[in-house]
Amino acid sequence: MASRAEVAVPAGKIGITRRAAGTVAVVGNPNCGKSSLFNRLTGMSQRTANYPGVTVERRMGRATIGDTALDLIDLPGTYSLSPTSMDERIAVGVLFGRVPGTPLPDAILAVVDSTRLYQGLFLVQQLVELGRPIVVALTMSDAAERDGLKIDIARLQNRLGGVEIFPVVATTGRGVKALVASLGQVIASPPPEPIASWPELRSAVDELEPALGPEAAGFTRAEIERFIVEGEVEPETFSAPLLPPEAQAPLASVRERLFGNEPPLAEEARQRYRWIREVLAEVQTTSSVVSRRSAALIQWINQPWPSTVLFVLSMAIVFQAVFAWATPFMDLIDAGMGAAGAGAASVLPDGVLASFVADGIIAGVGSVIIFLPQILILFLFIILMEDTGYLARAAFLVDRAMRSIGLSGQSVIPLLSSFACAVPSIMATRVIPNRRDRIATIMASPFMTCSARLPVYALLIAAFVPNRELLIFNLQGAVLFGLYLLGIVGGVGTALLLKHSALRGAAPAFVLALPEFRVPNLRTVALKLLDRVRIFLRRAGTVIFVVAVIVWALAYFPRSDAVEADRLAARAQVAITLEGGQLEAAFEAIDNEAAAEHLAQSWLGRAGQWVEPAFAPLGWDWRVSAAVIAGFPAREVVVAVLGTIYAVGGEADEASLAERLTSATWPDGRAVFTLPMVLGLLVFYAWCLQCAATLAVIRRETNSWRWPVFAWAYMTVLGYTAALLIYQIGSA
Amino acid sequence: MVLGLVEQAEISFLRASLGGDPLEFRIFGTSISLRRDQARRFSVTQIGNDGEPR
Repeated sequence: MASRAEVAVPAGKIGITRRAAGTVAVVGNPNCGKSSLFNRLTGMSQRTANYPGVTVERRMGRATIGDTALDLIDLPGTYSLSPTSMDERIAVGVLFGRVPGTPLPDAILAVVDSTRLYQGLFLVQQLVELGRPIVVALTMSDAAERDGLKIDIARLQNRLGGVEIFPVVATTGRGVKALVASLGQVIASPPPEPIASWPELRSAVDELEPALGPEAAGFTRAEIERFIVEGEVEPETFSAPLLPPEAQAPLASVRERLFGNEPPLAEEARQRYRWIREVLAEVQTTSSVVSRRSAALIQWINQPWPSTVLFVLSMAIVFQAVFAWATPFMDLIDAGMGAAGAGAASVLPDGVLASFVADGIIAGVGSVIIFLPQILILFLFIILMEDTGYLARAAFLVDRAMRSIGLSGQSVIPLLSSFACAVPSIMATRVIPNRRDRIATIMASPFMTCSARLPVYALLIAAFVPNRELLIFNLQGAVLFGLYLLGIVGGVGTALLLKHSALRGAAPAFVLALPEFRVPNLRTVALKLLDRVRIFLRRAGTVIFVVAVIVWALAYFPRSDAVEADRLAARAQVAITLEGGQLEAAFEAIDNEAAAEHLAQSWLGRAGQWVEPAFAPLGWDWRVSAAVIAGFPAREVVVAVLGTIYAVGGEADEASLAERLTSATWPDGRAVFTLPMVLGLLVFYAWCLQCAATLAVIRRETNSWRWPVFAWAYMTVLGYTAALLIYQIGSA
Repeated sequence: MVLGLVEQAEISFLRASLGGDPLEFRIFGTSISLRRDQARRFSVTQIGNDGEPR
């Protein structure tokens, strides 16, 4: 690692390449401006990896200013050293050096939001007690000044036992140089003296340390402090190792004396916040004369009704952007990929290689990047909402409504995102601290009508639902609306079901910090966007690509020579009698017929015939069954497979495919696509989880196979049953 | 608790969300949100501008 890091520093810029003076952990409350500062300090030298065994990204980077080079680790935000979520466990685990592959930090950069000193200083106290060299950065110092908030740095420094404090503005870089220089010096200095915020705890450690015997040598004082406050916690990922059995009795007696019947964590909060109030009274002055017009405006907007209007408006813009503004780009990508495929097919000799490159590789890449415009826009809006602080406001606004359907306010943005695509939506569920709420949201997401379902809906509705008025509604529109509704009903029903069964439990504490509105830092937004797109491409993109190639192979092999010979013979036949445009059309028809023949006896076609008995009760023949099977890894391929299998070509326009579908019959002459069958098929599409990328992301975000397997099986059974009922009742 | 809802902390009620829940409070210059049933578990004393109970 070290040698790679050295290469990352542009040698020309600083004259020489040097080893970093050490590793610095960047720690702070959520939304305290930590990431902006991290980005400012490290510039483009960031590397991202995963912490072992969990889904949290580890961001490292190098800060080089003057003679100082430091390796920085950007830790997930936390309010204290008592973790409640996986993100917080990581942050605490790294600080105690318990995360494999991540070095114990040599120093700590505590990041505190100047406008939220009250909560920030809680963590700072605990960080100082870690007994590691530490520097404090006060972010948003410009916002604090604007708000008329004055902080007496020298006094605060004094109260923190001489720890150096630097007001910084990450957006402009103000104060950053001094901060890094200080870090460079502090890292080589002895740690600060402990602050006297809770003397009883310190004396308890003094007392317990010898009682722990030689075993205590393995624990730092800060770790013993955590043992005293938290007791023996159940072993979790990156949690402290267990205390030796002989330490239990002295630990219990110390806890008994310190806390009595009080909950220890409450006692800790009481003690530490008492100190904070003392300190704040001394160092912080607020001039109440400041009443800016923008502050008044924000106050007004935060009222329930203006806030609701703003919420609806911003969601409308998001949807407009995802569905309207992304379309030209998607069309462009589609056309580009089509041209590339055709180009490759014309250059390469006819046969397996040409088909592999054009229909496998290029189409596979195309099916990944076709989603990029929508995903980019969606990610951008989610990040903007996070960075302006609006995400928490939206959660606050809809919490009551979301709770009535078994979710929490924080579920709303992920759920709304899943109307475009479940993948970014599931990634966005990380903001939900409660695990049960988060899983319920993840399980509800794939039900929402994503953009990949729309082509199937559009095709079937246009072809089979009569285009006439029903009362004040257009019937086709009503069916489409009904399908959206079905998705919502399915998702909400699932969330409710889970919250009353597998995810049952007491309502979690919903204490949400509501950050003030702030203008996001474009650089941070850009870096975050890049980061998430990278994750999408790596996690979802590779899966989408691989399944596209697999579906291609299933549809291509085995290749029948007889069909190919027939095709060539038929072409030769028509070439004698026809010419010009007629000949071209005849060729195309023959090629399409041959493609359908090939598909019929490919693995995919055989699979369709093989499972036809299972799908026949739903009114599906082997062709529809084969298309549905092909759609299981990625539902958007269904229209193309139907096009090929019904011999109108994979790229056929909707009208000719729809016409062909209407005339499709069973061997005995009955029409395949009856209204009950089509409605059943539509409902199947609404509820079935046909998306390998979503499964991969669920797997990643829940860190287990249990949930993706459950989601897939549950949704498939649900879709199948609904389609069965609709067809059987409708046809009876 | 970790957000500073402890004894002696001065807190002011700002507003309720849609439908009267959750509630927004201001504590030492920062806003936090609590659900009604959680907020009910705290006992508070109304104080005047001088910081004395009214």
